[in-house]
Amino acid sequence: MKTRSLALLGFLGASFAAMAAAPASVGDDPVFRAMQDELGRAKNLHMDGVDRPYYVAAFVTELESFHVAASYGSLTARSTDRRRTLDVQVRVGTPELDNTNFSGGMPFMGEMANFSGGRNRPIAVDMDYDAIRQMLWLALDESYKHAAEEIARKRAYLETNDVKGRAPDFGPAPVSNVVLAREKLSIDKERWTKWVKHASAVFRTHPGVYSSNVSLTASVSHQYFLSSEGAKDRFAEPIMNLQFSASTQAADGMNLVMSDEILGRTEADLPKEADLQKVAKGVADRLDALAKAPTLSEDYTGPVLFTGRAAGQFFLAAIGEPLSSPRQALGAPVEGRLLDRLGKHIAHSLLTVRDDPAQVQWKGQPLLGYYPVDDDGVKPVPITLVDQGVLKTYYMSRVPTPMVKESNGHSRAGQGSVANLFVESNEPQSKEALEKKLAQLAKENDLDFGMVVEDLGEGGAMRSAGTSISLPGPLIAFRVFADGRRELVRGASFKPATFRALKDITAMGDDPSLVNTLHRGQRVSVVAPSVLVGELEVKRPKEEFEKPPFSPRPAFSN
Amino acid sequence: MAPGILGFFVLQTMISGAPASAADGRDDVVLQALTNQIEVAMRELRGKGDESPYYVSYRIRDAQTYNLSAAYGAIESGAESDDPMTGRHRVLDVSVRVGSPKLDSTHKVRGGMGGFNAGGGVESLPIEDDRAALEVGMWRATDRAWKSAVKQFFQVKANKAVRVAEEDQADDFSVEKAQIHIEPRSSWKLDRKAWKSRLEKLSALFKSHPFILHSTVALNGTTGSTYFVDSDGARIRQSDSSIRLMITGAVRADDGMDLPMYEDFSARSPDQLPSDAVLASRAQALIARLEALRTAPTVEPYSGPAIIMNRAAGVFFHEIFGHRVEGHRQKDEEGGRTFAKKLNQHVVPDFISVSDDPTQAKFHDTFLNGYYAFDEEGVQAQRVPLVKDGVLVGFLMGRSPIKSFAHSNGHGRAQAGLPPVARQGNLIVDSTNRVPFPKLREMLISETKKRGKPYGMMFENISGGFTFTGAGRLPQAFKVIPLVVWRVYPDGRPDELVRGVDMVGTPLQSFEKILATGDDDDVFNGFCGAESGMLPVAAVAPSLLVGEIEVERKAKGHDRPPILPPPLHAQSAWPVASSEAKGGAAQ
Repeated sequence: MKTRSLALLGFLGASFAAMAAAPASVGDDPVFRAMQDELGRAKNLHMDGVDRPYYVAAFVTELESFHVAASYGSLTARSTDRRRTLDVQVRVGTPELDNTNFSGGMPFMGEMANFSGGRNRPIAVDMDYDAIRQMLWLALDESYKHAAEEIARKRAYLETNDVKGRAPDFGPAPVSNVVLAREKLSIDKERWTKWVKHASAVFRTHPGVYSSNVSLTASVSHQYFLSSEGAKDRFAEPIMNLQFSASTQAADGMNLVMSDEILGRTEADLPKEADLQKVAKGVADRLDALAKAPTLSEDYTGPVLFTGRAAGQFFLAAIGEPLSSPRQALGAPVEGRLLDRLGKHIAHSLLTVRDDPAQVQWKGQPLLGYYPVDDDGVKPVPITLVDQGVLKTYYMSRVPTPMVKESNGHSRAGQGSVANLFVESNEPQSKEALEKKLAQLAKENDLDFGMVVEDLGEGGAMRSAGTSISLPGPLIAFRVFADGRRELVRGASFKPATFRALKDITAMGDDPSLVNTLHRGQRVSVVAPSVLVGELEVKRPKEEFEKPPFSPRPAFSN
Repeated sequence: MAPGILGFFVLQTMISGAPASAADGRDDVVLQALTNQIEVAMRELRGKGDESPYYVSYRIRDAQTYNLSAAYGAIESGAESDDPMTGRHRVLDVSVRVGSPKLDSTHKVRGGMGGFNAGGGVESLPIEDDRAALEVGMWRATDRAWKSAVKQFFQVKANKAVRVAEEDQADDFSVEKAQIHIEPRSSWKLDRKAWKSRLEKLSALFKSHPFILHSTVALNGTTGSTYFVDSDGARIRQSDSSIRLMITGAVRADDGMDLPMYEDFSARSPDQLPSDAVLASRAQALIARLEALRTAPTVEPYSGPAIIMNRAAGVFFHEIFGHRVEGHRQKDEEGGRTFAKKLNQHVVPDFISVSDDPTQAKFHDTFLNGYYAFDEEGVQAQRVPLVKDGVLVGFLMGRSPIKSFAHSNGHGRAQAGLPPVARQGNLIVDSTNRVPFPKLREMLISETKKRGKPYGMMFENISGGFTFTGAGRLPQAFKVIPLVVWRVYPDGRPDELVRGVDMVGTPLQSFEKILATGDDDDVFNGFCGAESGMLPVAAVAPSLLVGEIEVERKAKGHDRPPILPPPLHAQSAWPVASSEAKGGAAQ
């Protein structure tokens, strides 16, 4: 085997110099060895009249997972799986101008342009050096040829279009070397099969629940990263994902869903059997209540108080999402984006927002947004996004923007993204004070009631163009009358809001709580207190629905 | 031809995966749930006036799938799927028809957006035998399918009112005798551990061949039962299993042409697949072919006599004939309807007869992939004569009647999750003008000379291509993808392998030009994709001598072969397309 001698060859070309400084030994992990040996050869990639690569990186993701799902006490699916996927990145040209951040002048393609070929090229799942190298060889070859074509197209575009203030394509970053121990998926499959089934059986006694599902997906994924600059990272990401969902139709035919989710890092972060059934019961009860709840008779414009999960979900949509993926694709219109207002007041001055991916837990609960090193191989830096209402920075990968040049270690799949978002108020107020304020605002607006939202629903924030706030749901919303009476309402939905809503934040609670959820396919955590927004628009439902089912749901004997 | 009809095929060789059960299915919870729910649905929906369905059917695919694949000696997928429940699924398809057999909710709406309407009746059911939980799923899917049918029927009536009368006034649904047929439940288990090691070894054979860029060995199996019950009283449970081992490889010629090839083996259960020795020799043959193809010359546009060898002839007939005699296409006014008006007319030379026979489990000793006892509309499979002595005599029929045929002949097929349409099963081409293959080859040479052509062609291997049966913008053309093609010279030079051959032409013309056939009938087993999904099919044919086949050079990719030599052959003399390009690890 000529592995060792390859590593000692030394490398030509300045941009590869750093790699020679990488440790000669890459241990006995065949995945690392295959990556190192093939990246080492990639310097020889050359075609006539085409730039050589100045930066090459390989990512290997290894996933071991267990999935179990049940409905009404009966198993609907169970599987165990292991797979490994590969992605590579080849940059030709120079960091100032390379083959990336270009999508043929089609702005909507911009986000896809930064990652070559997605991260789903399946490769050998066995620890097989030869088979993994073969796939790396083909992937690097293909990416290099693709990069060569892209840079030619991009240069032609820049020749024929007047592009002002274009930032460099790739920024510098310190080289990371985070090689952590491998972990095994630890889950008692038989016990969880039983527990998930039992939890799903709760819905049998709710005849109003027309469909329901309880599932657990337990997985450990290992991320490998190696770059020609000498970065070498490997770490494990364990994740446990419990999902509960149920649906029905109201008497008027409106389709209704209710859901809940619990995400954790290990089995110990999950509830035990009895508590699982309580969560399922909660979903069933809330759905039953929702089916009987009235609808808004007219659209609502007024104060909205977000509490519990809804508070975290609100900030994910209103701050996290708009401050992600800051680099504009070539030719994209520059208008109305929150992140263009760097250094300015974007929110009420009582608001401070931070993000720290390196934090593992909060008040003893796991923070799912944690990672030791980002997808560009950069160690994350804690950042203050908003300081007393002023926008200070945004989520940065190694792709610079005209305003921010350096990565802050927030790259996920090549895009600056949310990790652990912390929202703080310099004037925390009690629940009672918030409710009082809500009532007062409603009265000032000549409204009979104010609205309280407890959950915006799974999926949290929707991906947006970054020019407005798109709030999903709400899943659970109440109207609160002047006398304090709370009434669940169904079928309400938010109209898109402007960023003005951030300045309309009137008060925040003293009750920070944690939401672990998925956003843009990534695990994220948000810690936020209740928040009262002075004015938002809520739509009443449309009035035509499908008919109710042709017969009552078949009954269970127990 | 001596067709090897084995009568009713019983899955005796299989290990039973379920406990012994009553022969009439009375103790089958799935069947109980189906029977009860369909009765409930008909009873509850009867009072809905104009919106009442006249027919409801439930179909369940209750099976386990196995998928394992390896490349370069290592497992790529399926490695940890040792959980006995992995791949276990139960998929329900509910069909609800509103209206009457004369005109119902499935009637094609003309001038619409095209595409098909699955009707919302697909539901993933619990995989455990909990009758009430199963019934909730059935109830939900019925509700969706019924609402969708009511909506659809409304559109059908409106469409009918504003459009001119259709040419084919046949009913929308044929009434068939309800069948009761309960087979014993049987299934097999795959020994994953043993197969993992077999696939690893087989896939490792490619490691010593630097020019083969991609290669995989994949094993895909499905084993279980299919249920069908309907509101007319049909009660069917069939055992239904198949497994396929596929070896694929691809090379890239120096001019950037990608040349993929595959070998596959189909069987009803894993123990019927070939031995390791046979698989290895077939893999080696594939490798040799790929390596020869990489450096083979490309073809120039050519038109002249050719032999389409037996298995390739099967694919040829499947693509350009079989798809065109699928019954429902004959009344699709937005389709091409090549044969709609050709009934009782000559469509091929007199010596050719064609039938489709799903009831055959084997041809001689070879497993036939298109075997089934009942189709997905509850109709018993039948042998259907399609061409008799050159004359078109029939169509493949599901329960969608056409002008000339009011009934199904058991060819209404679909994969789980899609509504059935008429499809092929085992297409069988027969001939009364047979000569031994060497004689057929001599005839090719004399035909070549007679026409003053420099060479004839021999198509040894054809991969299923695609057929446009549509009218309008798309041409009435077919395209099959010849994988292994030889030039046969009249002067006695050895046959020459060529690459990059595309066969082009229009279907009717190429049929007329069949001059003779061999006596070497062989089986092509494969999977066919169409609007009702991917289905196992077979085609049996002798080699065909065709007076004229037109070929052109296939469009090639632009990417040249990899710049660096393969990692496992880093020192090999690696061809580099550009003289400026540099390669090799030693620098």
